[in-house]
This record gives sequence, C-alpha cells and structure tokens, in this order.
Amino acid sequence: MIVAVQVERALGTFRLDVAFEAPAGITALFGPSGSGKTLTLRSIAGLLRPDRGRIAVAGRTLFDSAGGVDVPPRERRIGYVFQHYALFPHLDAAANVAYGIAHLPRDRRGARVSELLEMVALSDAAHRPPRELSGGEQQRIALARALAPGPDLVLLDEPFAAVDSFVRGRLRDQLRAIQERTGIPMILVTHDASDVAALAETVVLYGRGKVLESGPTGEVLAHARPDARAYPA
Amino acid sequence: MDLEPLALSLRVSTVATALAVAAGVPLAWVLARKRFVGRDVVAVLVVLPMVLPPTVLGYTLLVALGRQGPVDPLIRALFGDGLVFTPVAAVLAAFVAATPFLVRAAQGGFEQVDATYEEAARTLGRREVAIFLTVTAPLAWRGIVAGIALCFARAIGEFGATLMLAGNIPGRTQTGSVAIYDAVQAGRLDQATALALGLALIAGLALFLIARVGRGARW
Repeated sequence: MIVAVQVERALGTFRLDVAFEAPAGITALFGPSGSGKTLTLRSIAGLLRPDRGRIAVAGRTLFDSAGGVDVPPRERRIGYVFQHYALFPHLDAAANVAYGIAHLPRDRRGARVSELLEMVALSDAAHRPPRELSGGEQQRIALARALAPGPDLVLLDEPFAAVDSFVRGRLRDQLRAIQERTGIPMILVTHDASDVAALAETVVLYGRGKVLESGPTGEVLAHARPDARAYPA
Repeated sequence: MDLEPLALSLRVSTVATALAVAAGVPLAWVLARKRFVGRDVVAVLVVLPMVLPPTVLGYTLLVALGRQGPVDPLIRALFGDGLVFTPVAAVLAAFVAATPFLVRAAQGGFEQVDATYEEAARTLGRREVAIFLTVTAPLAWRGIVAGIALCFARAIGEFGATLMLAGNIPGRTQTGSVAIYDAVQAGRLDQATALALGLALIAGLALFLIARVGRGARW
C-alpha cells in the first residue's frame, strides 16, 4: 500500500476516527459534507495534528503518536490542491507553479515550469495572474504547482467544486491522464458520486467521522448504493 | 531663520520609524496569527501608548531610563553616558509613541491574509521565514504601508514625551515640534511660522511618498 492512514482527532463535539489504505492510482474519499474528509486530508498533509494515530506514505512514517513522529508539512513531500485552489494572488501562473521549486537553478526551474504548464495545457497562461484565470484554469495551475516539487502523493480537496458541469468532464479526463502520466498517487475528496465512478480505482466511504467501507470502486459502489444514495448531494 | 530642528525631526522620525518596522511588523504578525497565554495583555500594552497622554509616556520613560532608574547602569555601561536629554532619547520617545500605530495597521493587514495561502506554501516545502517574506508580507503590504505612514506621521508630531525625555537643547534634541513651542514662548513668531510650514511640508511629502510606494504593490 502506498498510503496507510489511521487518525483520531476530536474537534468540539465532532470526532474523527478513521483508518484506510490507498494503493497507487486515484483514491476517492467519498461522503457528505462534514463527515471528516477534509480533516483527513489536512492530517495527511500535516496541517492538522491528530490526537492519535499513524500516517505513512510511500514507506515513510510521517506521523506516529506512539513513536513521537510528526514530520512538518514542508518535509512531507505531499502536494495539496486546496478547495478554492489558494493560488497566490500576487504571483502570475508561472510564478505560482515555480513557488515550490525555488531551490532549483533558474534554467532548470524555468524548464520544469514550462513542462508542467504544457502538461496542464496552459502554456499560454504563464504570465496571467490568478484573478484572470477561469475556475478550471485555476484548478489546473494549482495541480501543476502541487506537482512541481515531485511529491510522493497529491491530495485534492473537492477539485471540481468550483467549475461548471461542462468543464467538469474535461477536467476529470485531464486529471486522469496526468495521474497516469506521472504515476503519482492521488487522494481526492468529493461528495459527488459521478467523480468517484469516473476517476477512482479505490473508494473510501465516509460518514460522520468514520469510514463506513473501503475497497475497489466497483465493488463498494455496487453494494453500498443505498447508503451512498442516502447522502444529500 | 534656523531650520535645523526640521532636519533633526526628519532624522529622529526616520530612525524611529525604521525601528518601529523592525520591532512592530513581527509583533503584528504574532498578534494576528498566534494564540498564546498573555496575548490579550500584550495586545493591551501595545495599544496603551495610543491612549495615554504623551506626558505619561515621557514620565514613565524618564523614571525607567533616568539617572535613578533601574536600567541606567546598563545604559552607562553600554554607551558611557546617560540616555536622558540626548538625541537617542528623542528617537526612543518617538518610537514608543508611534509604534502602536504601525502595529495596529499591520496587524489588520495580516489578519486580512487568508491563512490557506501560508498552508499552501508550507506544503510546497518552503520555510516559515521565506513564506513570511514571499507570501504573507506582500499580501499584507497595504496594511503595513498604512502603518508606516501613520507611524511616521505620529513620530514627526511627537512633542510631550520628547520634551520630557530628550529636553529642549537646540541643535541636539530640539525637534521641530519642540522648537515651535519654544519659538512661540519666546515671541519669535516668524520662526514658529516657518517651522510649522516646514513640518507640515515634510509630513505631507513623506505621506505622499509612502502612499506611492504602497500603490506600487503589483496586485
């Protein structure tokens, strides 16, 4: 397994208590709003400290409450595409993508940025600021920025929430293609069953801070359908 | 016509503002971003010089730093002389009176910056100092610049605390605002008018330049 997560965290009256494993490819955390999916992503990235648990990615232990391990976010090598993308508003698209590879020499950095912009089909947007990009374009720049340092894993929080349904299909295809091309495993959070069916090999079904079920998408969706349907879209 | 006090005002206010930036911008960031025990106390202490009469500030500084004060031996050991009635005292008075304005405005600027940008920068492998310099400060730039302008204006206008701590020594600690008072008391109204106009000109020009720099922010 590429990713092994076991996390407990209390937040007010809410209790997150989840455990799952994710293989290579795309894994979807699927469930209603408020079920703890984003909290799980934040824990994996190191932006939220679990009360207890263990998180391992690609053979590295990133968090282990029993062993006193808590790797800071900047050393986790995990890309994060935030729900509203969080592109730096004062930097243009290319500078956003370059942000995580500032340590590379200028020419190699430039080449890497060009390569990534080409991969997300936005080479012509290099010098546009985020406010001049559409929702779908922002999402692709955010993905390119997350991929730039060559992470072990990419987390995507509701990556299609801010785009209309016409763009959604194309973005899904692009994400799928980029995942296959880079081979970098991805975990995405969604409350939309069609995202799961279209993208994820593995699904982890969330409800009220717990994992209800997880496994290959086809199997889980086949018999979890009544549960899944009970969720408000 | 003696315009030396204006030059001194400019020097004192510039140094005081530079010190205020060095101390006040990090403090503003801490107040905006960190939750810690005693934060409310710090927040009140920071604002206190804004609401106290400058004479209270001057008197407090005099008691703390004067010949009988607890820090006097240390000051003498470091500088070889007392602090009171020196140009350094004028800088200190302006610094204490003006820094709160910078902290308040900069804190507001930092609070406007969505913390998600800093989180994004962390996941991209950057260190906290680099994140502050490349993300947080540029996004809080307007608040910081407004704070610098207010701080400089307050420092130029400083009178009461300066008079008590630095005194009224022509050519040494007599700043523009003190010299105006001195000239009026002595009935030299031409001198007072010239200084008042000069001070207004310097303050206005400084605020104009600072506003220009602030607009230079690229977004």
